[in-house]
Amino acid sequence: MAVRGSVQRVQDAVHGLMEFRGLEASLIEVMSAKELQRLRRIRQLGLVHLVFPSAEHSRLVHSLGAAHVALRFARRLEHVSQDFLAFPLRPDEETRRDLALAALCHDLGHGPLSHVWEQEVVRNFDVPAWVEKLGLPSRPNWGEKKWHELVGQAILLNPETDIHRSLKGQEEDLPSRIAGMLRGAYHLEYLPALLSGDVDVDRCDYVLRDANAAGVQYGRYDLDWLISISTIGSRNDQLVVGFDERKAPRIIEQFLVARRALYDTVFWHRTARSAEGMVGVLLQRVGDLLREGSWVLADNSEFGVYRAALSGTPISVDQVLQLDDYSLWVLIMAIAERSDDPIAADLAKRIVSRDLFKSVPIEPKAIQDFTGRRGRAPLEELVADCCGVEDGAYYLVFDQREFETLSKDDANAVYLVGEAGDSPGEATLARDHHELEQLGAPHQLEPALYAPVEAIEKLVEVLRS
Amino acid sequence: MALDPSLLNEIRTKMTAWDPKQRTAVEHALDHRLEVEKRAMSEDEVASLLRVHGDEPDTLLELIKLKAPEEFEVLCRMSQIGSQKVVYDARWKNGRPVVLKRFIEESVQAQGHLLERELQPHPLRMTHPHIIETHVFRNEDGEKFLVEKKLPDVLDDGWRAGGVAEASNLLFDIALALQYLHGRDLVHGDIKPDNLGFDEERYVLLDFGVCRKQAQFDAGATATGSLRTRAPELLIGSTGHGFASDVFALGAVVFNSLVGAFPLFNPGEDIPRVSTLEERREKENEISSRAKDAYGHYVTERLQAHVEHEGMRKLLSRMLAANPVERPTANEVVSKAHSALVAFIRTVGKHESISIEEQLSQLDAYLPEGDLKSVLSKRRLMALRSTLEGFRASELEGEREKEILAGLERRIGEESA
Repeated sequence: MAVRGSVQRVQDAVHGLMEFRGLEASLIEVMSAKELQRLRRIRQLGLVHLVFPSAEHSRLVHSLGAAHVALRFARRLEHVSQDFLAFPLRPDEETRRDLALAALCHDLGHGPLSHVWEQEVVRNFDVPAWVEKLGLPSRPNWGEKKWHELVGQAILLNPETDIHRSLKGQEEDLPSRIAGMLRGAYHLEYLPALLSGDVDVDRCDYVLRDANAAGVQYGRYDLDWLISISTIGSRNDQLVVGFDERKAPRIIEQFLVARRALYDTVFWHRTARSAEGMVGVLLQRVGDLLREGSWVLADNSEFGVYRAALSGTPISVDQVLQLDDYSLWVLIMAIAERSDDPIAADLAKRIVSRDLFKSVPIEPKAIQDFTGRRGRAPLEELVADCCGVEDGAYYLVFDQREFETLSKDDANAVYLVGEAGDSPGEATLARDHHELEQLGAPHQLEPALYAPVEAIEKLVEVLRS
Repeated sequence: MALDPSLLNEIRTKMTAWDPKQRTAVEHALDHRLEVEKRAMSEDEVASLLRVHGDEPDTLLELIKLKAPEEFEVLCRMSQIGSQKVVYDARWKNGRPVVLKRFIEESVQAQGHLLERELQPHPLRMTHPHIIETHVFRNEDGEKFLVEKKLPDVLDDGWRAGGVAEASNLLFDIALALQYLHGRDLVHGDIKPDNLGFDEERYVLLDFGVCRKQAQFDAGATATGSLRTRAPELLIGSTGHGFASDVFALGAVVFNSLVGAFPLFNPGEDIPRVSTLEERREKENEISSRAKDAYGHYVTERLQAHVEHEGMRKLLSRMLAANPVERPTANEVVSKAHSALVAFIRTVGKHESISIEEQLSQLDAYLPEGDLKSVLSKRRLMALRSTLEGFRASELEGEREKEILAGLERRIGEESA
């Protein structure tokens, strides 16, 4: 019988010494599951390291950081609620552990390069077909889930995975409880919001971690203060996690602005977006070839899982677990070195040698006006001509983004909580607060267009014509 | 599951010093446990048992045979309290240290009776900040064990407050626990330093083996609790144990922490804890005569000499009044301490417990709808069941509260054996 140590300690570049005590210490045991270890091979920031070279940290370290932040929130809520909530409604040691485990597992299902995969390979995935192939039960309704969320659920619920066995070893129904919590279902109904919302443990960790790793000064905020003013309030006969209304507006604003600044300057840095766009068009090219019945390499026996996934065929949990940044890079390198398809080989070579598409230096409105009037075809023909390739569609990356600082969806909302008496304080929406309401408006980012450097000049001419 | 061979060897080496019969018995018990019953022992568990009881084959044998609830590992036997209860130092398998209490009555029914008595003061189990967190667990045979949080510090006779500030915290925190108990018609009956612990910046009341309803302490019954903190009316036999004698006992503990002796004892005076009946009677008579004839010398004068803070002195003086009628109630002690000693008290503003009515209303509003068995973990379900049992024991008056309670009980279903 293995006895878990009373405390496990992990040093972290962002949070310093992270201590996991009692039941919490089981996180460290769970971390050795191969499905979580796979996250070591997926970078948290995809291709951002091509611009910010030190931003090479993995999804695993972020997940552990998120788990640590989850514990800190849960400890705070446990402490603060003892004066106004009945015991069975308060977090306790087990709840802390559950929340931290859910935070640790929240990124389990990410594919290679995370968001590139999600946006380019499985953007419009066939939900029922994937549900069946992943071996998920037909209920609950999976329709609203993102691909990586669906895969994460499948990994947790599949009795053959290491992580399922590890959780089950602690408690029979722990795998389904953690999976449920990640879907928003838990007996303390207010708690899952800490895993997914405008201010959640995922964002609390990545804002600090990604800023730190990128080496930028944006993205800093006072996590200690944020946690210290968190509490539980009541709204429409439901308990919600929120923040002390007297102290919260400034720190909430600081957090939201920090996150947005990171998007503007790091995550959506033009060079990083160009690189991600290029991997996207390369994967599209490979997928198109597969759908036409050919493979990008001469040897049909290689990269079987990628062949299936890129052709749009659902794959099993076991196969998904073979996908990561490393294996995708090996595929890209193989395409660069050995592909007979000139477009795929050229794109792959450019990616490997960091010969990235450039942003077309023209006002965004000109791009919108041109494509609105004439569509993309003239631009694709022009680029094909400039680059000497057959199909210019793979040589243009259109980038259109929207950013929401404070969500309109109440499920993700931030709450401000009034003073508690014998019962929880009243919670109100932060987006309705007069000092925060301006952050509620959606933020349209200017569209951008990326193309090979040899086509830039002519593209500007055409777009201005 | 087999043990590490080096540990097994260590056990066997220890055994060589024992009587062969004892050695055979321990070996047999160990084999039976590991191989037949398949009840594993961790290396920590074995190492601890060896370290503490390596020279006590009988105790080791008892511990190897002991069927503790599966959630716990027993590290050593701490003590036997009277003839009814054995206490073990144990560890929850999540690593949390606990105290495990086993009732050694012959029948399960009698064990259950004792356990219920210990549970009486926990109608809001695990919610009162100054009453020890308590759980009930069963072993595989259905025998119930009481599980208490193991506190990092438990006071003893030599514990000194080191000034009025710490004494104020002790007085206020335990007065809150008494206010809570007395409000439920329960008398603790055994307030003494050994039954007070300290955890997370607050003092906590422990051990409810004597605790019962006020009416169940009749005047004719033998006085319970420690002689050190026994109130004069119990020494003289004029009345039975009641709320006022709890208040006296708390005053006596605080007095001892400031003065360096219990109210009717001299500093360093030998206090018989377990002795012959004759010795005990003799000591009781001696203390009893001090209560009758020298009360001023032992209590009033020493308070004057040792307790400078006026608020504390006046409050202790009232709590230690010879006549129980003159003592403040626990409510009054809380109120007086709050006004006279507030500058010293850490837990002011954090001590309010939530009324049962409010708790029931919250559970009704905020727990998930439907069958709770399917959404709560085994442990959470047990904790909720325990809380509801407490509510049931507190005899609710409101119809709405009764309805909510019945509804919640239906939703958690019957307890499985």
